[in-house]
Amino acid sequence: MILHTIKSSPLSTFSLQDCLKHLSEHDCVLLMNDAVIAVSASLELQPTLLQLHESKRLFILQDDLQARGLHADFGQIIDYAGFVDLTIKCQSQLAW
Amino acid sequence: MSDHQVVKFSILVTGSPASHQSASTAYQFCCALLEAGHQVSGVFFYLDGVLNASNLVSPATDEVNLPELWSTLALQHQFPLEVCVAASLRRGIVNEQEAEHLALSSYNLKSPFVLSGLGQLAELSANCDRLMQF
Repeated sequence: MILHTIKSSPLSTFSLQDCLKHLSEHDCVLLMNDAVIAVSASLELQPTLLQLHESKRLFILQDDLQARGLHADFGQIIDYAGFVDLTIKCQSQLAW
Repeated sequence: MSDHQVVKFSILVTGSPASHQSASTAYQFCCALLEAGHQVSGVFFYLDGVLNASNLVSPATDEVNLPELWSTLALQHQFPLEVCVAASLRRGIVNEQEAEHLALSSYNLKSPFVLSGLGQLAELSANCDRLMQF
């Protein structure tokens, strides 16, 4: 089980798009920094993100969402303590 | 792995303190894991991340001084701050020994950061339970 961390906005790079193509069945995705906009903007990727959300594998870093004044329509919002727990639950991390 | 077990983390920082958020995210992650009772085996600064090790970073007084925060946290929790030597020299981060060797007029590596090589990153990744890249 890999934790994929995305830090760039899907509107400026292909990191999120590429990551979603390479996800394995149990992998989790954490959106942080500018990537948090993915759960607030209407994107072509939204159906894939919603599927991830339904299987409880999509996470959003709370501070970064709040700092940008955004609201998450889906995904599980976690703080830094939750981030640490998530990295322990997943065996390894892949930073995009 | 149980949540109650102490987990050893190594951290890889590749973003500069001023132009990307990632170094700040890495710092806050370190604070959170220490707060949860886990350990930092070491932090390795690579690529633009080496700019976190400059003694000359002087932001306005109402802004965060990340090099200062790293130093304080590392001294408090006794973990090493390793900085890639090749990436550093390329970006003007120099310690006393290198300054002397290269006949440079000054040096600016902040204490307790130390210049080291990628071998040290390999060692940090081998001696931890989780390697986190920011």
